Amino acid sequence: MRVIRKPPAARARLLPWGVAVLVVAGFATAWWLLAPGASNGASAATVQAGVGGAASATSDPAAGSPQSGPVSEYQAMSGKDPNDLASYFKPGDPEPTGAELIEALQHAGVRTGIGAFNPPGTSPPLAGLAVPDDFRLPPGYARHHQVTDQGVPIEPILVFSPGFILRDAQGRPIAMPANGVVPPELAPPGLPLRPVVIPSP
Amino acid sequence: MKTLFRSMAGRWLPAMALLALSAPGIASTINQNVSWTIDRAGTTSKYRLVAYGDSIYAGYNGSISNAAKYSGPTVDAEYLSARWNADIESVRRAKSGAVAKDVYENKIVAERSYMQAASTRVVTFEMCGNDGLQARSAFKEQSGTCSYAGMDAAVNNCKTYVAASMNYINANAHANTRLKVISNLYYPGYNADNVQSSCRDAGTGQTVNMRDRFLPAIAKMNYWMCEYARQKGFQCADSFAQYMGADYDSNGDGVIDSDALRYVAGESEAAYVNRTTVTLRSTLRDANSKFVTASSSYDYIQSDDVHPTYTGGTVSAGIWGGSTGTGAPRYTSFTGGRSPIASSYGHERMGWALSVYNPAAP
Repeated sequence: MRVIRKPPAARARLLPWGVAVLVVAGFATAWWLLAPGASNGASAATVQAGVGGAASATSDPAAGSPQSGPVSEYQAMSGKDPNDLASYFKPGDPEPTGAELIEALQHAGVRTGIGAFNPPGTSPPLAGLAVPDDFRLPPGYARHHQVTDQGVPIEPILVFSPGFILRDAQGRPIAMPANGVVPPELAPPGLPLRPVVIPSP
Repeated sequence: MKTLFRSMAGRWLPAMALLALSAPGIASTINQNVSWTIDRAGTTSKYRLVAYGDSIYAGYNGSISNAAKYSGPTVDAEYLSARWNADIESVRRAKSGAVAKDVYENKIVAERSYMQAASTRVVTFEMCGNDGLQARSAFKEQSGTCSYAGMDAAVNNCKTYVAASMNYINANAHANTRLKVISNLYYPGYNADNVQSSCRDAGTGQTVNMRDRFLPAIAKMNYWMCEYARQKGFQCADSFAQYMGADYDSNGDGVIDSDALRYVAGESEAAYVNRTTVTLRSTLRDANSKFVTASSSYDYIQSDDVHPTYTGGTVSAGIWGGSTGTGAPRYTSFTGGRSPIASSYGHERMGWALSVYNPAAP
């Protein structure tokens, strides 16, 4: 994959160099010490070219009238967005993870932009019992399908269907887990008790 | 020694970041632009779908340098390619973290050129999610007497910029455009928000359930996205209904939950909000357990509890720039108009929801 990087000259307009350098140095230090070896895992089928950031513009939101003339795609691509975090990075800089960047923003009290996002891992995939495709589920049970943040499917786990109430031999309700995941002791008869291994992030 | 350095760095990073990032006007969003062409074998015609939005259409996946290749609009491009027997260029102009105003000004207006191309046939956009997220974050940090002004402002800003965006697209998209469609919002963190606030309501003196407060706000946003769509010649892909309701009739009212939750053209705001947040409240479920049948569910939400799940790999998009690429469609025909994985991932579901409005011909 080829990527066209944004011109470094524009970066100087956005924040004092000292601040930018401090940010880069901070991430570089942390990256070197804490997370060596990470890389951009983007795939590339027949990727051809890259495009840059967005232009900044303001307009009367009530208007909606046609602009005086079309703006070329080159013009739209070649501008700089002062609210783009890309402004703080230059080619070759170490890359923080999204989680590190979110943490840094939130430490600084920034709750806008991606500072309002939760970091990955806030609600990780549920661990539970494997439920093979050929296992006939009794009423009240379901297969729950999950996927990693990288888009890799995880083997389905066994959960209770919504609204299902498990009862004992006397018809009394049995306490069920709040997250709906079936524990081994409540698994239906005949199901091999094998836990699904959740891939590491 | 290495452990010592790691430990020290672990302490230094927050301090350095705090110093650096506390500068006034600090950036906090990321442009994540992708153009991906569905290259259908044996075809020469090529049409364009343009998508404007925030991290949802960007295909944000927790990385700041890559994103899902098949976010909702590109999934729709695959449906278009099959329906029109043509190549479809999905142009995603997206900015993760952007509020509605930002999407409007810096993507839809500033990057209007993409929808002005004669090859454009579909223009779609989504926004307002970050207005809601930021209002939610601010509310969660409140103590003392609760103020709901932030949520009200988020709703009003959403209404303002959704309407403005539709007006602008109507005035600026190429005359060849056949479909204009907005996607409304699902509720990320529906379960996590089912907790009491730290602040206390001025009227009751009690803490409030945060989900009870946020749900009507997101419902109002969703109503106006679909209602403005009706008024302004757009279609409305009801992602709220697609993500938050089961694909079977769980409450015995004779209607599939995800259908029952859909916006009804012409209904009032009050009727929509009451129907989706009160009458059908028991059918709402967190989208991390989307039940497609009573015995099969899918997690539509990534581990950040915010963004949709996806499949099909990633492409470069973020701090190092965006990317342009081409690839063969994963599916070349769709039985019943649905991909085999249409209900298995959040972005696939959103893309299908967009696709139902695709015109028969370009």
